[in-house]
Amino acid sequence: MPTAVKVAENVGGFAGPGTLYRVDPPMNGTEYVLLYHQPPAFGQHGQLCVILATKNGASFTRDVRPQPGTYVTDDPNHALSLQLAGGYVVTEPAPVETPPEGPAPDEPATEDPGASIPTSG
Amino acid sequence: MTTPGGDAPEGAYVIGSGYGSDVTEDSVRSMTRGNVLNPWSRAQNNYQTSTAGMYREVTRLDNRIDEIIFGNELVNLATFSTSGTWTKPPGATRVVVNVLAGSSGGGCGNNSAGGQADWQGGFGGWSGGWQRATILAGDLPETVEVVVGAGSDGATTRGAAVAAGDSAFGTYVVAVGASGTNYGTGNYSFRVRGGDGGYATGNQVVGGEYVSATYGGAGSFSPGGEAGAPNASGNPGVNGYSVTEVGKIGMGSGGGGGAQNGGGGLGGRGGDGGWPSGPGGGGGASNLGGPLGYGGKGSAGAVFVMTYLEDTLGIAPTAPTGLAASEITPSSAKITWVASTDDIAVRNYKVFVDGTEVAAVDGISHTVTGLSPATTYQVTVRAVDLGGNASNESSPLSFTTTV
Repeated sequence: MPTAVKVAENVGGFAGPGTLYRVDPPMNGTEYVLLYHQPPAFGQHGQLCVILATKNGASFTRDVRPQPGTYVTDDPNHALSLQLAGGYVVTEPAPVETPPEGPAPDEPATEDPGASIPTSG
Repeated sequence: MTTPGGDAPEGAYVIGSGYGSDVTEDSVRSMTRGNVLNPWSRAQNNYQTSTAGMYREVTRLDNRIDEIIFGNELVNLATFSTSGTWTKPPGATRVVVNVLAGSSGGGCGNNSAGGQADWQGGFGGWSGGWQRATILAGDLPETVEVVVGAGSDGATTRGAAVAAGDSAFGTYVVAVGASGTNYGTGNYSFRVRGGDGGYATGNQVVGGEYVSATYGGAGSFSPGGEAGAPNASGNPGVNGYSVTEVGKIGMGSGGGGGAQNGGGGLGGRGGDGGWPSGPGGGGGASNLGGPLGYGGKGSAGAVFVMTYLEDTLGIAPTAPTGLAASEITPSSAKITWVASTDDIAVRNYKVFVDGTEVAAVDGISHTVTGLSPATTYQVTVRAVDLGGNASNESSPLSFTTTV
């Protein structure tokens, strides 16, 4: 079953606040898609856009090209959009395994600071 | 159609037969045509039932299209936040195109003002180019491909971000995306920088002085994203602010720089740029060999296509229908109706009470006031298009005010 797991919310850089999902299987060469919603204004309906993204929430392609799942709506429904995009079903992330008791083993510094995406603005 | 030796197929029009004896060739043509036109007309009504003056919605499958009246001119504004196709609307005279390219993300630890390498923050990103042009509608084809350039990701290794994407309105108007170290190019000079990440001077072992991250640059309508604060916190910068109000054409603001981390933890991530074309903030520095903050993302660009319309064909709108009265009081009543359609655009509606014009309104309702109690009134409405052509009167509506 194709799945989508939410990675980050309030991702900036698009015409509305973005939500980043990791999708399995990949969509058009990337494991990430970003959904953003342009809110309704002045009688104009809003729209929910689906674009291909990187793991940091940037556009995967050189131009911002709408993908299947993009539709006009005032009430964005990510589950519907992801279903339309590739039959993806939103699932919870896999539980993180609890480390064993006792002193933590020495590990190399592999922390990924860029994975921290601000949630403000 | 002939049906030798049997009944006509269901739904067939049989000229001169008992079934359909009143059917002629012309009436068949009319009915067939109606089968196509009626759904189209209903769709047009649906599109125009919100309002008829400011900010009307028109046909759109993707991206945003609005109609805005400036003085006596009607402007169709198509706002592209994703790549697509622009279709020339009927009645177009001239087209003003603003093309904003993608902006670059913030840098990561590329601020040479820092004392030691790990104490260096990232420089903010750069806004994309902005190209503006006016084109006579007659010089454009019926459709034009629109490309919206992507913003580049913030740098994740020491140095500047990669270049952002170009935006274009066909080959007519092209803006070049920002590089990691400079603005994009275009003929309009408005520019924005992302905020720089916080850093420190001196020696990180024996001590130094923190230099705060900076705010993102102001966009066309909004201030820049706030810097990560306080010093040494490692907090991220705030995203830049986007331009989302219909009718406003401009650039988003820059993301704020991330704060430096005074311990050995992560430097603050720069804020993302605001849409469109706001650059990302630079990542914050770290200390004691900790990881540097990543730059914030640059924003995608946008393409705004303003098409000025005129109505010179002299075709009047359809008459308003479905008049109804509500909220009736002794002295007032609210009149509503179904929107008219026009070959170009309906400008407004004129409301008549007992044959006297009492109002001209942009919307599809009007509250008539100054009425007398327990009195019957007759109301009609006419639609007027952009060229001043008035529709026939609607069917009259009678109502009686309460006592």
